[in-house]
Amino acid sequence: MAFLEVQGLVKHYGSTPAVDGVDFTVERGEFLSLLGPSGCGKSTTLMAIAGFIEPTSGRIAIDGRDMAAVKPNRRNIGIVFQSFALFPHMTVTENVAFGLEMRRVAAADRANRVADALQLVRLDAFADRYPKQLSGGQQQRVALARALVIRPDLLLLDEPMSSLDAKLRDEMRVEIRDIQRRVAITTILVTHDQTEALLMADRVAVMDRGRIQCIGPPHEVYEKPGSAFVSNFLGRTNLIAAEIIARSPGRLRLAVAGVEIEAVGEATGERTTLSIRPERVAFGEQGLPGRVESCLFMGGQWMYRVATQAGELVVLRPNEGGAPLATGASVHLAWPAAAAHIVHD
Amino acid sequence: MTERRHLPYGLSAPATLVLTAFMAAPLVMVLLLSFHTFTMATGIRPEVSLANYVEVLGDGYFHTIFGRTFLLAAAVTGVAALIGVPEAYIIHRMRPPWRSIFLLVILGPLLVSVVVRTLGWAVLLGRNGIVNAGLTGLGILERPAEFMFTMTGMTVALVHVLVPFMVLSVWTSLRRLDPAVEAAGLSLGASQATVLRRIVLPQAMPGILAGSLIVFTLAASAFATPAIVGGRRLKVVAMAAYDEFLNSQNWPLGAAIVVVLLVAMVTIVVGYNRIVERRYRQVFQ
Ligand SMILES: Nc1ncnc2c1ncn2[C@@H]1O[C@H](COP(=O)(O)OP(=O)(O)O)[C@@H](O)[C@H]1O
Ligand SMILES: [Mg+2]
Repeated sequence: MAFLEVQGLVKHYGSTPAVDGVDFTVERGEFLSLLGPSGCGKSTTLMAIAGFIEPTSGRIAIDGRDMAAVKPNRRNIGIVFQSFALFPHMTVTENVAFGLEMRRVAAADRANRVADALQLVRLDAFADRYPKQLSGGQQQRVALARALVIRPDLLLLDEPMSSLDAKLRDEMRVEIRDIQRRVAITTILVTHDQTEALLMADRVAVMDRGRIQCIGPPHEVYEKPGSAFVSNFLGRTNLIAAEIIARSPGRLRLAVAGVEIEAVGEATGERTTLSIRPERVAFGEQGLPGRVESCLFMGGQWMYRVATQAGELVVLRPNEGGAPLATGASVHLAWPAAAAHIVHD
Repeated sequence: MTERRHLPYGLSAPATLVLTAFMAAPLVMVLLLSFHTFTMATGIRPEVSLANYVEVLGDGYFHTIFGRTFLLAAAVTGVAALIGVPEAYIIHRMRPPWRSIFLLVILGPLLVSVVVRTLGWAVLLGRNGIVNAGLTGLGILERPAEFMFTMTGMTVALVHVLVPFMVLSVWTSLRRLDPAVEAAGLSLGASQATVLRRIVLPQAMPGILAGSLIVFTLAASAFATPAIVGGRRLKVVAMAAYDEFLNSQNWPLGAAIVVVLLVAMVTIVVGYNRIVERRYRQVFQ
């Protein structure tokens, strides 16, 4: 049995559902990311697990224990809020010690555990500062230490990186991930940033309009998105219409603008939509003919826009030191059959 | 550039002029007046003398009045805080339509003249007033309690007049509170009561301080309410000054009373401010 179970979670505000039947499980020590656009119900799901929102229906169980009758202050869950929600009138030490004080941990033990927690987030030198005297990244680490020091059963992170600048965000992603591995704590991260979700989590659940669209390890969700929404939301993709010519189990022969190709997946009907990642498309001698419309330099890669009969496609090619293709050049686009996935709308 | 630098002065000039003309000038005149002398026979004489201050600061009669005024203002401030802080928190936690409705209910009394409201209290609190009729009728009291012409009556009436200032000021500081901070406290295992005491209250301190200062100064200088509910038997400083000016015609002595009241209040306010700001330094930044 999974450590955290969420079954059929529904939350209505008035008559509109914010969360509309969410099911997932998280194993002990696992890092799950809830990824989705703003307003899709991520925070609502998280706050229902924390006990701050009473679900309209559904079941939440931690370690086999139903949480319905358990108050938020009895759930033993550590939370890092988007705003960090530090206590401004307390020092870093007092902030971190608060949860231990509430648990009536003896003063000597408390001091040791606070010191350990501050060391874990590399803030030992700032113990006597007040939150306002710290940078955003330091404040976030205080919030993390405060949530971890109580040795919670579950760690919930609600868009913890969204108020940090880009460079700090990259650092903190790696750091939080390392800390999570080191203390082996079951964690749920809510984010609308796909890079963050893919980079940090063991599994990613993509949410849209109050439902989970797909869930799995980052590379699987990225490679086999299953729906047009997910493939678009998780990184950039090319969606192209295709006609089905022939089927074999798990494979399809298709025609894209008159060019015959192969793809992975099952589909009914005569027409379908394909998702092909820009980095899997290559320029070749044969394939879908097109014309280079524009070319942008991105450092490690070149990003081309190519006009074809099937619409405009984005192509990412690694920068190998040479000059890029010129705008207006005639090209053929090709990709491995395994890179073309059938998606459903 | 120079134009920019002068702009703030230009913009505040009208207010400065008005305040100079109607506030600073009369204050300076009162200060000068307080050093003049007065006798029944000669009237006001423009000599410089400390006689009025010697009288105000040395006479037991004035000591009683100043002491009573301080006690009254302190009691009113304390009670207003006890009522106003929870009231502000409840308003803060209300949902949108109710919040504005109840704010209006709290501010409503400010739209009615102080004299009218105080006369209302006189009707309620009098020997045969509704409160006494109710208390004796229910058998809670044997004889009617004395509210009129007592400190209790004055405190009740003044708290009613001044509590909206406390509520507004505390509510303003609660609005700056991050709602997630309360959730954070709960998630760390604190009870709702502990969250209020350890997390919400300290952050409401700037509002409580500001509200206390407003209520204290208004209570200490109140005239109409003490005059109606307290009467001549329980004189406060504002009434003593009024009597010197209008009954005894001793304007210099009245002026000295006013100056002493002003200096005492400024001292108390600044001192209190210092103490609380130092105690809650982090919240004020
Ligand atoms: N207290 C509330 N009252 C009414 N609607 C709400 C409330 N909280 C959230 N919602 C709505 O529920 C939906 C999901 O919100 P939320 O879970 O905060 O989204 P996310 O965190 O994914 O951005 C949104 O459409 C939002 O407007
Ligand atoms: Mg959110």
